[in-house]
Amino acid sequence: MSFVLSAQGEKTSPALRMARKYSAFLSYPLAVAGIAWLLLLPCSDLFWRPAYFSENAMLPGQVKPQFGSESHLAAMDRMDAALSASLHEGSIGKQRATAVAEVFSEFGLDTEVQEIVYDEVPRVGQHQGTNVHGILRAPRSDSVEALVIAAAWTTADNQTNINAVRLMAALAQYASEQVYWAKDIIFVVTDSGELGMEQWLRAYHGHQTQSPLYVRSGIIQAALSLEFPPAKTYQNMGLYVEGKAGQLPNLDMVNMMQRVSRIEHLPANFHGMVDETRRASMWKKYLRSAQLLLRQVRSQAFGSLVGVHAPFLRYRIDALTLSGIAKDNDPIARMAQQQRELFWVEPVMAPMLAPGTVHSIGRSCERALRSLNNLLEHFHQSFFFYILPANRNYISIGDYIPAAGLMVGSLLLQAMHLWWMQGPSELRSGDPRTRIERINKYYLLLRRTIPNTMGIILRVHLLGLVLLTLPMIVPHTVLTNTTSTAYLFTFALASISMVLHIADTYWAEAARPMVEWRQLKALVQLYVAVTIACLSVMNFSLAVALFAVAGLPLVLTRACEIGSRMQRAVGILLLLLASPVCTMTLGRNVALGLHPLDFTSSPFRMFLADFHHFSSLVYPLVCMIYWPVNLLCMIIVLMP
Amino acid sequence: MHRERQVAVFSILLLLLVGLPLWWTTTRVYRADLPADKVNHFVPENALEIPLIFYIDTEHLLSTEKARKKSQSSHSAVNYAPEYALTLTLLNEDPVNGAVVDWDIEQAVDVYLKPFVDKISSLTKLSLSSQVLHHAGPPPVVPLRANNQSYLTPEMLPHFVNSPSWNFASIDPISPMLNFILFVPALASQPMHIADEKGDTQGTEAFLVSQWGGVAIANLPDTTRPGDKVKLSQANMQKYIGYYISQLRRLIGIRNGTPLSTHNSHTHKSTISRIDTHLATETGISDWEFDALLRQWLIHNRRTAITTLQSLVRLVNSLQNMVVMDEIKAQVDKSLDALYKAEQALTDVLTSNSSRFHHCYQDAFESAAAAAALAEAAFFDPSMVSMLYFPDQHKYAIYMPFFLPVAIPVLAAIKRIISERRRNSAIVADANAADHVAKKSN
Amino acid sequence: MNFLRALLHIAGIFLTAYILTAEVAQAAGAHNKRQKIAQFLDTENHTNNWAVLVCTSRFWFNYRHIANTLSMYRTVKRMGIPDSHIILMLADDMACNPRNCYPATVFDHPQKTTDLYGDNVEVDYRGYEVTVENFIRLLTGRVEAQTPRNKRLLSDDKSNVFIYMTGHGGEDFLKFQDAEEVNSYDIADAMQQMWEKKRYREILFMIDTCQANTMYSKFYSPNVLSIGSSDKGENSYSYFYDHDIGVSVIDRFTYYNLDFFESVDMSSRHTMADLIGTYNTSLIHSNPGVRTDLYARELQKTYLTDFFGAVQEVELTAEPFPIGLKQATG
Repeated sequence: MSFVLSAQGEKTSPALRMARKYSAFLSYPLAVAGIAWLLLLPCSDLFWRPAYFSENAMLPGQVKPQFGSESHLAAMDRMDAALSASLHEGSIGKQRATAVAEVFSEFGLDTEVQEIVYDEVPRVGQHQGTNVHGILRAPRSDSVEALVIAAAWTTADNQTNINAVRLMAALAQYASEQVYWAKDIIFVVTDSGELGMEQWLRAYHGHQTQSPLYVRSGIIQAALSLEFPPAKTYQNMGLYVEGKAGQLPNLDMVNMMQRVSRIEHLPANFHGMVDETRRASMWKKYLRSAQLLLRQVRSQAFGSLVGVHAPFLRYRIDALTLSGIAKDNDPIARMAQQQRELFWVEPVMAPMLAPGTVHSIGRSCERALRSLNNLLEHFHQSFFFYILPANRNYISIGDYIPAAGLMVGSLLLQAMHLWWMQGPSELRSGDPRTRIERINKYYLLLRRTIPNTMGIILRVHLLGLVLLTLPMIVPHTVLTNTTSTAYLFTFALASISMVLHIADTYWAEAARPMVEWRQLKALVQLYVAVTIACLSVMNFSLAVALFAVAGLPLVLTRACEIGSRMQRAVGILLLLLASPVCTMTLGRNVALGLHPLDFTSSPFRMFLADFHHFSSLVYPLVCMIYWPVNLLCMIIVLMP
Repeated sequence: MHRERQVAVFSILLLLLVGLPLWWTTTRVYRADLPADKVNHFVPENALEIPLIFYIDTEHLLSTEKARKKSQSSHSAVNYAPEYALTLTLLNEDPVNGAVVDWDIEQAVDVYLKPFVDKISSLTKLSLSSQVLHHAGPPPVVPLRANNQSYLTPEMLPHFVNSPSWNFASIDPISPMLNFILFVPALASQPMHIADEKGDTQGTEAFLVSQWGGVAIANLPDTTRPGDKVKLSQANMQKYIGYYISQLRRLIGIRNGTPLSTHNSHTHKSTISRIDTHLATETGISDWEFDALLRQWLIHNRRTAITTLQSLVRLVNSLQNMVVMDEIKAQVDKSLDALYKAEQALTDVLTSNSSRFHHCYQDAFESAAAAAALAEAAFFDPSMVSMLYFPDQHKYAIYMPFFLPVAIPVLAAIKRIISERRRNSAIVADANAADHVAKKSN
Repeated sequence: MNFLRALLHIAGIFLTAYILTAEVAQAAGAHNKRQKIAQFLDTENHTNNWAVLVCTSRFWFNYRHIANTLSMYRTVKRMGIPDSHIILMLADDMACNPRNCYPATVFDHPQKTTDLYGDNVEVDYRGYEVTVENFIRLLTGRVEAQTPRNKRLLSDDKSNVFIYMTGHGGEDFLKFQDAEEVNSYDIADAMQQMWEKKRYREILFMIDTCQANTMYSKFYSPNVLSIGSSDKGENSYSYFYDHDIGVSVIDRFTYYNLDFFESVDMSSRHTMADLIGTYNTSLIHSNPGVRTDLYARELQKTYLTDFFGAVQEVELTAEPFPIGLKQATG
């Protein structure tokens, strides 16, 4: 009580007086400092730490590899023969999966073909797919734990992932010859990408009854997803670690993968980006690192271009995707790119010990498997929250969270200041004689205005809730394949609500001073600050993105005094630019990593699908925080 | 404010008067009080007066023997135990290329060993079991061969019994084991003798392994062919059981020739004589030896009990964090009682008549044995193992999160009360001063 | 009364004479035999040897600690201590670990010359039974009533006990099974309790962990000789790495000890001073330490077989006891 009253001229402690004096303008520097902190992250000297192994048990790369013998190569040929037979019959899907299952059975694996039916977006159309998996049982262990090697039939740029399936066959043959496995190894091939893998995981963990899995093993401890488009050799290897909702695997898994691929002289680079050489200039290094960080932000915040390993992370399974990037002049790769419908390519022999060949990559996979085999239960030693600015460095959470802290601090400080400054100006004078009167008036003000303010906030958020739940309720014809319908829908809703609220405020103006813009802004800032703070730990990129599109406009709304209608109009226009409609339209190609000329994918659909399948938070945040806050900012601008 | 102050004062008092004592009592290490002074009253090295009954034909004479300052136990004897587990094992090295050997052990034991067991039963229980191991395999030491005979040299003997395939395990985990084995070598190694380094046989095929048991080697007659069935009858076994009894006597601690000192007050000289054993061929232990054993064990048990109790008291005092349960105190008390009883029984010997001598001795022995057993049980009680090292830093680290959040408001309240009191008294002083001034001016 | 006393004197003299002559007679006859037999009597000061070998770490990557302990077990057995006097505590099973590509074997050298887990390994405490509580109970003798015989340390006041510990350690502590620790004060107290209850004559305490020398720094019981592999602040390092199995297979300190023992057998007269003299800091990569202030004898006079070998006294039984025969001697 005394904390509040003191703003009205009561005897104040020196701390409070100082806070009041400085909070007026301190919030802007704090927001700037937060953004500046983020900009400093790509600097190599400041926050980067060298990556190291925490888990003593793994012993990565310490064993002589045994992959590459005749029988393993023969296994690859066997897989080719089976696939060519099935493909030349003309059908894909189940035929192909059955062929793969047969080849796996010959190696001694327990196989099963799973036919799945799923909807990408709720209540819109059914898709069908086929998953096939084979389990190599550990010869001397009970099937309590398992490792997964996964692949999808198509890569990210829509080529057949044939080399990965071949490699899986060779690995299966190699693994079946060894006696030292402590965990089962499961080889999974899916033809529906991340969604197919998600269905497989759901069935594996018993969450799905339509297409259950009968051939199962124990807890999955780690998963490795392979993506190798047709090529003779690979020049570079990409490592993708982010999950669909911003989850990250344990840093030891990433380190291990990098170590084993470095031994074969083909290091795995994050997102396929090679570090600048040591002799490059500081600026170039900064730019390269910034580019890598932005890609990570994109993957982590929006879940785009992550890889088939992403569904595993939701089940707390450490997983990552290893993808091969072919040379530009690779003859096979060029041929495959030209013929997009090419599903299968003749294998070409390449020298075995050269880096970038399938054999060399197989040895890396073998070392990875043996390291994971040494592991006892989950990864638990190294970090779970980190940022990767370069290939051998990481930034720990203690070094990047202060940025979010500063941003949240700026919101909170401004909220504090506005709360003190609310009400008519006579309440703020310091005359001690009118003190009691002022206190009474202040309480009266609060008692009358807070319910109304809360009412406005609730009404706006209710609209957001409607948008969130609408796709689940409304029949599917409303949300069809085209994006325009979705946009129109949202836009319509937005306009209606705008009209409603503008009317509201003008009505309120008549009985002044009922609703005070300062109070409204302070309350909104409070819960936006809390949201960003909680989110920054779970998904730092999403928190930063949320601050950029919702928090920052909130800080800057009515930063200077508004007098004329012109100023209000400008404010509304700026806020419209910052609204979800605009950002999603303008930024979609960048944010989702789409081809610049791709107009068919809809970010709205993608976020909805992710929310439905992978519990990604983007869609709820857009509906419940981003868009309502944007509307509330507009209301604040329009208030008297 | 007055209400607040009341609450604050009440909570402070609650903390100090109820909280602190409650914490102290519930986190205290439970330590029962041991009767340290009574225990330390005994001195194990003190002479124990044992009245000695001296046999000359049928005359009884009384003399006293002082307990030796240093008990001359032989190296090979095992300590006293209320029960020993005796195992008799027949090891047949190779029944395929040799004879299939069996023994009539029950009869032999009944006739030759049981009298010994029965005679000694009032002092200690010997529980017997037997087994036959066919295909025992060769011993872990390879005997030398010369002149169609095998020889075991002295260096080989200690390792003879360490073969991993000879299983002498017993079910009972506590009673000491004494193993007596009869080893029948393979026909190819027969006859097996024990020789010294120069190759001279020692004329015996049995040896004793100290604190473990005894070994006898049975060489079958020359005419034995592979596949013969040989049964060692009771008569054959007499020799071997004889060896075992000889070894058993050594292992239990029966001394060959018990020293006796007669203190002759006239000559002021003591002569130490050795009385050869009146070899008791029926039972294996003569009355004299029985008495000597009883005395020996009586002294040993008493000494064990006293030293154990004193060690226990010393230990409990030096390790302040050790938990001492009530059962331990009860056992210590009972052990002390038994010690007193033993002493009492020995003094009773002097006052009782001849028919009750044995009874008193037996009482004393049993009491001493009970005292030793109780003292050992108290010392080795499994409850006295707790993590004993609890440094102060650990104590602070554990108690700080509990006490600090409670202490801070309480201390703040105390500070506020004190400062308010001071302010009030200042105001009162001011008021008094003002009144005074007003009065003055008036 | 006088008469009685006179009778006593006469009887005493008569008996003395009788006894002396009888003894002389018998002694003469059996003198040769006894003399020969007496040779067999070994009059060392300790009468039995015990060994307590403890490996405290589990998990596959701690293969080398198991190999350390098993190598010591082999050495001690080779030198003559029987299984019944060895307490072997192994916290994990490497031979049957599914990650072992040579199942049912444990090696301590990449050349795989000796399988340490071959025949006749008797593990007394295995797996999760190796805990601090069980270790302290074993040493102090305060085991539960139903503990089997092979899990008890049945030493007495004439036993020399060799205690060997290996695993991961630090300053004043040793880690058991990645879950708990024993600190040097507790071991020191346990040894004092052993001394009080006369459960040992001499103890040789050897420890191979990081900062091993701190573990024996708190001992205060007499007749304890301690050897540690590394000083405070130093690590102990592993030696051979096997690229087939994929783990380190032995530690340096233990390896160099075993190397010395290659030249030692049951009859050797090497002393502790010889063993300690071979410790080479540049090879071991740490500073091994020895603590002798609690030990009464000189190291030059302490034979290795005092601790690593077994003394078992043997007496020849000259003749069978004449049980069941009707005659008496004398």
